[in-house]
Amino acid sequence: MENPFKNIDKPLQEVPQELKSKVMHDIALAKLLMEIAELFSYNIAHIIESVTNNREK
Amino acid sequence: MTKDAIHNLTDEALVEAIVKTNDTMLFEVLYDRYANMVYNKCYGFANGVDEAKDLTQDVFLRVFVKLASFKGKSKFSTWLYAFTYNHCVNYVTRNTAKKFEKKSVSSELVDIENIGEDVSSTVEFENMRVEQLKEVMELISPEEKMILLLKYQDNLSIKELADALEIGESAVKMRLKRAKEKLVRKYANYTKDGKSI
Repeated sequence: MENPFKNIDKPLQEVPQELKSKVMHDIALAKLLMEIAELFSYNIAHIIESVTNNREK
Repeated sequence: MTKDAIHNLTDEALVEAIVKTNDTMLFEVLYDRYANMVYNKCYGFANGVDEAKDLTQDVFLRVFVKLASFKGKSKFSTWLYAFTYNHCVNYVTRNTAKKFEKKSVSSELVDIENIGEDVSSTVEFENMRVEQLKEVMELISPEEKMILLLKYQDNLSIKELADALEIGESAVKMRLKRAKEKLVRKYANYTKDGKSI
């Protein structure tokens, strides 16, 4: 006898077609929000690096 | 990158490219690879198709936002399994989260030295019938269901489970042992009189 856990999710359900467009819409919105947030925030690591690199020895 | 080249990328390389570029087209490829798996795992925790759809949608959105936290320590599929189950369990237990937290702390106090490698064995399950096992899985807690599925359906090792659940290996063994014992006990009771306990 084989491990019954392997068949516990059978029969596999088909993913609804409309789900993909919903997910991709969410992702596009999330990307936009992340980019806007990035626009208004400082990249501290980059600032520190550029300041220390440009400092006269 | 050409379409063929993208489709030939390993999961890990694809994830790296998505994190670097934030390209939604690349994420679409990742969705196509894993939509079936994520949807079916969510379906196992959901009450019907609509809830499974909502859970899947949320999982993919959270995956996109959290993708940078995947460090490549394990296979991407392993990380995604755990991520999906975690989301589902949090959803199912959203009102009882505190109660479970307490319970899990007390379980760590028990002597764990004596748990051998036998937690990995599936001998106890071999005579179980799939239909009945499905019913009995609903009688244990979602956390127990999650750890059993990760171990015996998705074949995660103890080490991978420890990484995925962010707990120690001995805690993983302890939880697995308890979940397994509970399942076997419930299954025996269930099949004895044909109804739930």
